[in-house]
Amino acid sequence: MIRVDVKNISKKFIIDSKKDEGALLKLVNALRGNFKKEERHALENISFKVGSGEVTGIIGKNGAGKSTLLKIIAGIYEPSSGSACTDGACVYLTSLGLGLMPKLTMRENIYLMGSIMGLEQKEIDQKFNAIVNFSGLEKFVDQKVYQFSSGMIARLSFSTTFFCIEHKNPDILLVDEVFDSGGDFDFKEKAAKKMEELIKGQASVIIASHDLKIIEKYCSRVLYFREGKIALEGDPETVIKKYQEDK
Amino acid sequence: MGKIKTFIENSRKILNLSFSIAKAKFNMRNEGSYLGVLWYLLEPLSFFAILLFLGGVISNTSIPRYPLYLLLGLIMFNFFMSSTSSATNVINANSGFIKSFKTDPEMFVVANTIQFAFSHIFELAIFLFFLVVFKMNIIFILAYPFIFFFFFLFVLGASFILSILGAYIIDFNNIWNVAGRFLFFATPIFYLIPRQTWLFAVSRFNPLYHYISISRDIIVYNTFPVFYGMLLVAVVSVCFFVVGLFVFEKNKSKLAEKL
Repeated sequence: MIRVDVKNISKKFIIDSKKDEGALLKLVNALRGNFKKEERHALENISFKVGSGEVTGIIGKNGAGKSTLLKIIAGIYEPSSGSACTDGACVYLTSLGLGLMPKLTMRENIYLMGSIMGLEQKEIDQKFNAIVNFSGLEKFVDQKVYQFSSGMIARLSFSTTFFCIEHKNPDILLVDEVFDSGGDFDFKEKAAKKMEELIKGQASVIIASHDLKIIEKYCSRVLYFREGKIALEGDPETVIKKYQEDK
Repeated sequence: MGKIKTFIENSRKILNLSFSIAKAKFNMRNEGSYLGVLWYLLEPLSFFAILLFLGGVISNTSIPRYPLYLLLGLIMFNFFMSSTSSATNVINANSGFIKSFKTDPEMFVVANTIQFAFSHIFELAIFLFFLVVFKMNIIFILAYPFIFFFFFLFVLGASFILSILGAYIIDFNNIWNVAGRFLFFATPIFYLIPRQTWLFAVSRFNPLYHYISISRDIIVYNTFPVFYGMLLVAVVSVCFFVVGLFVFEKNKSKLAEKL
């Protein structure tokens, strides 16, 4: 069963050379007829399929189009042409700790993050204890997050994100460079196990990472991206070898 | 039929979520204590005191029940201005979420307006206190939720449009705040527009004028405006909301790339 079907996707970004200009400058430039805009092709004619339960890796240098592709599959970006069809619930997982609000307590943060990730109040109630226990921060539930150390923040955000994802039980999991959970050694080990459980579960997974060991360990197939195109596709060993040669 | 069901289901989800976010943001703004609300009330109340003083001492205003007239106008304008001003920033402020989750960004705009509606309740409590002090019949305030419902739709519609403009133009917040100053003086908040003047004719096109004057007529002067006038205001509110939502829906898919 095909879970992700990417057909001829291309993505052009229009890079406004003066993206941060204010209204007045925009007006002046418009009056002068100065519409200087650059186009950058982030992806060109990408096609591939991911079957049910399959784990696919994506490697490539920075700016090769890995994240853009995952965001298009997740529905965050729209492709310029082509289509990405997904069959089933899809979750995009990127750098952790984005949504935490320092002025709220840990409890409030868990509820807020949970609801933004699409869980109902009742569902968060059910998961709440598990999240707190996993993070090991039982004593700090009603403390505000700005009083937390960076390790504690990492624990909180990893636990909340993962339990929410687990609860949603996604059919497709898009993982964008999130293997270092932060926190101390014990927690890292615990987090890595949790991550492994998630990847080895029933979901179809696409992992974009620079960590070649992880790609080799989990993926059955790897796509090597170079300047927005698939340079090579195949088994991890061959593709990684080619990538390292190119470097 | 299925589409309508999905639409209702989705709207319910967005509303629930907006409500949770608004609650969290409101708590955050007030540092989790109700004393924090005092800070929020300080601005409109001090402004009220100054204008009341100026109205009484300098221009010797002849508007009956002037303090109530002024306070109601001020708090309604404050709700409009603070929510729309914050709306110009709301997409940028939540860019982390919009860029990394497949979310409905409508919820951030709706949450923003709900958050200011919470604060508005506290301002209303002060207004209610003044009604009691002035020995007014407070039963008329029961009409306010109906007026506020349409006022809220209008503010939400405006917020949808302003949030998109704010995402595309980085200094739009400044522009809107300046426009707000003009709007403040163009709306009869601390003065009365004499009829048969050009300003009165222009004010008829200012939606804020209508919400404020209908509320004053009912709550402060206990008279009911003509039914058709109120109906027109209701229709305009719904139209504003629909147009605002339409503009937002047309542009939302590009937001993640723009940020």
